Amino acid sequence: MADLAGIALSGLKASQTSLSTTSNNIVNVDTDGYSRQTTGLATRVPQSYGGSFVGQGVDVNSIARVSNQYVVDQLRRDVSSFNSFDSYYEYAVRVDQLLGDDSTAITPSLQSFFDAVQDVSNDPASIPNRQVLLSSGEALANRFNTVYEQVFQANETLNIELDAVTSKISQLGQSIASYNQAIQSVYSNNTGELPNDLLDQRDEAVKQLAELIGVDVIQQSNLSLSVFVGSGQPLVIGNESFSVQTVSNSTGLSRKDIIITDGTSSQNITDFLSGGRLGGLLSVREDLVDPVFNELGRMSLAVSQSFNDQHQLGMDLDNQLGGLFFGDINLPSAQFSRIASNVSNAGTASISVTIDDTNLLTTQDYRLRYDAGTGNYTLFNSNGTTNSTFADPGAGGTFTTADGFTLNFISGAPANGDNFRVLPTRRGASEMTVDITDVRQIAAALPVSTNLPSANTGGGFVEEVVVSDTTTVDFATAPFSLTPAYRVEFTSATSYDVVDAGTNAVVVGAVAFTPGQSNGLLSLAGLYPASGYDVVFNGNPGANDVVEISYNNGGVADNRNALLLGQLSAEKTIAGGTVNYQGAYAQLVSGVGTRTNDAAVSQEAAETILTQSQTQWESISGVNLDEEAANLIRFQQSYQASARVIQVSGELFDTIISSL
Amino acid sequence: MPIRISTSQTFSQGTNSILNNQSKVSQTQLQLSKGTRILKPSDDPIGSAVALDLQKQIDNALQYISNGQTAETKLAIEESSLSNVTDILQRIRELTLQAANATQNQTDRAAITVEIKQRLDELVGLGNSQLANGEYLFSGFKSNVRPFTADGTGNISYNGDQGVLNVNVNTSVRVESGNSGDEVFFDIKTGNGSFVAAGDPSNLGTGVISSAVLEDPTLYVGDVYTIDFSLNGSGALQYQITGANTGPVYAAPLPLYDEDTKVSFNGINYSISGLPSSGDSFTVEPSFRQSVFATVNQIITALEIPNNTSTLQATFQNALNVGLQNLDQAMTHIDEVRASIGSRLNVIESESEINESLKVEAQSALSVVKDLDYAEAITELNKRTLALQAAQQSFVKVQNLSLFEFI
Repeated sequence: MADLAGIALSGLKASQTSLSTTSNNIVNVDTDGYSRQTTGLATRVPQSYGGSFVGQGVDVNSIARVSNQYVVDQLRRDVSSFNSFDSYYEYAVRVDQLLGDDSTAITPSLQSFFDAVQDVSNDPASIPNRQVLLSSGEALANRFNTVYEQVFQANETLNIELDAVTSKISQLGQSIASYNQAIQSVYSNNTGELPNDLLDQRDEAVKQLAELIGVDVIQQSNLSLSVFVGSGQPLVIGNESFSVQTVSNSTGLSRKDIIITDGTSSQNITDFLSGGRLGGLLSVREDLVDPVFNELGRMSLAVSQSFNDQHQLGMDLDNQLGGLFFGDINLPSAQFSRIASNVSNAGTASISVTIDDTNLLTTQDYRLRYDAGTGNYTLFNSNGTTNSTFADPGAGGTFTTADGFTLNFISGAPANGDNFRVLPTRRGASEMTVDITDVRQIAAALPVSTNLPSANTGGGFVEEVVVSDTTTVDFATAPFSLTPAYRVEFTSATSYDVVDAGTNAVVVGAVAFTPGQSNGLLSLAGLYPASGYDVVFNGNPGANDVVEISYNNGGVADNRNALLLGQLSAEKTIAGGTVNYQGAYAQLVSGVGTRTNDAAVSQEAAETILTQSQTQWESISGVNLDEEAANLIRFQQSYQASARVIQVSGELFDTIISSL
Repeated sequence: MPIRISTSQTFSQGTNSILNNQSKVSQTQLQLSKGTRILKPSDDPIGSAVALDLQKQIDNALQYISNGQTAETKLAIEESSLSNVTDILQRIRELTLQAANATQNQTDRAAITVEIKQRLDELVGLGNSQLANGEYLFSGFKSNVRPFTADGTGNISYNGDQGVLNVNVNTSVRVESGNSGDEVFFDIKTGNGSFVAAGDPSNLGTGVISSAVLEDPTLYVGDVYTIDFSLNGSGALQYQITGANTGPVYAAPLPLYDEDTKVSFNGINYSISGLPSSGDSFTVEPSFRQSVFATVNQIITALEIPNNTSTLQATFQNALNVGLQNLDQAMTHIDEVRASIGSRLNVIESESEINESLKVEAQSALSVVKDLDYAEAITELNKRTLALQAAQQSFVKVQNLSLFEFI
């Protein structure tokens, strides 16, 4: 005879446990990472009575969490990838809006500036027009500075976030290591029952880690998890965790690298990281922030240099040769700011960078490395390919690259393995200034004028005066005179002498002239380009006709240089002559727009995928209150039934007693 | 087996779909309030680049139109000055012809000369016209310099240069927005544009050379020719024409003088009226440049020649003929400059029309790229608001369903 009360008691116990598990599920419905638990029941070993087995009741076999490791792993990967695109998009859209907004974009300022140049060319002597040009030049420089500052701020925020994210990663690594320890100790002291809640909490910690950084996770046989980042660098091994930190590797450059360290030795893992918020931050910096710095920098350098070059060929309102309109792009401070040496460099080499030709500049950052074995420097492109290799020119030496800049080795000597980051364009936009202070200094005129005396009988005319260099001897006594001032005297319709107007001596005699087409008078005489200017003459001059060439004193209404300055807006002076100022900006905007758009699309796709795996995880491990309510009723009923069995067993007992 | 849905999932799904719809509504709302389809470049990267280019085209067209207006204003001022110049030259011509009339005596002519001198001053005044900002209209690049000044003897000299301001009225079209004073007032050919025929002021006869024309440009040899009169062996008046470089035209026997007969040589055709004396000479020399002021001075000088003898009358007539011919040249020249101003104004107008239509085209293209289709956007807004409402309502409905309500 089985023990009816004993069976009923086991039933009560089982129902109680099931009710507890259900209640636990109900109260943890909103707990992050909680996997629902189920109570496993099993029949007790039956007793044999007369050849048949009589059941002895029920035992609680296990309380297990409902979890699928594949789904957990999938969810972790999807969380990583979503967060990576999400942080990328967050920064991309910020730069995108900055470049597209009329109040921060470069284009409107550039347009107003060149409109002002046109207005000066319409009326070169007008002081108000010149004032507008000067102010819009300042506005243009300010706009470049402002946009640089905005991108710089975005970069600073990014740096701060890198700090925060890496410290959070280190913390989570520590938590996972301590969970490992707790789980191991509970597991080994136990009879093989799993510590469900600790496992849930560790899974949640790993998921939080995956939000920040792409990880590889391997479960060991003793239930502990090993976590790896980057290209297999361990973050957590058993009870031990390593620290991920930011470090500024290059002097004077606001661009942090990521290292992993055990306290004694560290490894730079910046280039190996992907996934998670950190991966997104690093790739948006690589794809967007750095290129925008460089594109803006290159544009501002190109505007400054090409405008200055033309401006210096002109003459201002006070008969002086044109000076710099925008600030000199090769100021010593700028030259030194274009290179950042690695903090671990052992050598003393001091290097500066001079920009020679803005048209040849690229938008990449370079890396310069010294190898003592060969005595060579190697300049690497941003994609790691070799740009050029050259022997150390020593202190005082220079090396001119094919990319429009020169490396000046000022002093000191390098040590083996010394690294430098060469950033020719990065700060360009922040360094743009207007050099000119007085509107009278705007060089709207050309410094050379011509005169055809009234005694001329022929139909020759000056087509154009070309000025290409005002640093020549001819302009050495400028203002107010050319040295020497030439007079061109036609000896016949097809021949002329170039005469020194001061001494009347023939400088070059009997130069052939072709009537009816453009003739560079000084160039045909072999005096140009050494003279720095030429006079293009056309038509049919008569014998004894004269062309007098002189310094353009008092030429206040001359707009010839202003017209040439105006033409610069359409001239393709950037990226090897492939694009003009406005075009370069349009390319930058559409490039950033495309990348941002791509990021938005990828982010949405990653979100959908994440939602799917989240749904899958929820569908397996999530708590459903309706289900728990049903279970509550079910277990309540079985409890009540077991209690009834006790009552029955009591009644049975009473029946026997009363019959005695 | 149905798919399990966890309770927190129903909540998060509900809230997510509400948030999603809210952000779409706000995006459409922003588009509507800004009236543009592209709120940031990434909304349409290619469209943004195209929009930048179109905006540049519009701005450039506007700038070219404004350049044209500046040039137009200057040219209009120049045209009005030159129209006055033409009127004054016309008046001087009338006065000169009036004075040339043989019935006028010395006193009458003196009175006329006084008026011509006043007209000359006016002419110089017009040459020194200034723009509103004080710049001189006719001094070339040296717009701060007064272009025409008289020396002690009444000679007018030019102090400007030959520079001419060019203005961009389209990408590759430049228009001169003025003329230098040298070109307008000084670069005028004397005589008939090829050569000038004149009598020697010391002639004693009454010969007056007139109507010298270029008969055949292919035969014309430019040189300073002197027509010398002398008596031949039989006492008849004969003449020889000698080029300074080309030498004598006729071999002996020299042709005899015949009044009013047209003489042709080296492509030149002239006739002399009256009776020259032996020893008198006339010249035919290539034209040179002479300012309109010098021409008027030349006429004044001629008018001051007394004409009380027939010899002096002939000298006066010869001088006046040259002066009048130069005056006609000057008037033609000013007319030519005015015609060129007219054609430049036409160019400016047509270029500004081109730019206007370019601007309109670019604006409509820009509108296609950038502007919002309001009908579409409002439909979209309604659709999205509806979706948002549906999401909210279904969320409330679903959340009310719980088994716990029933136990």
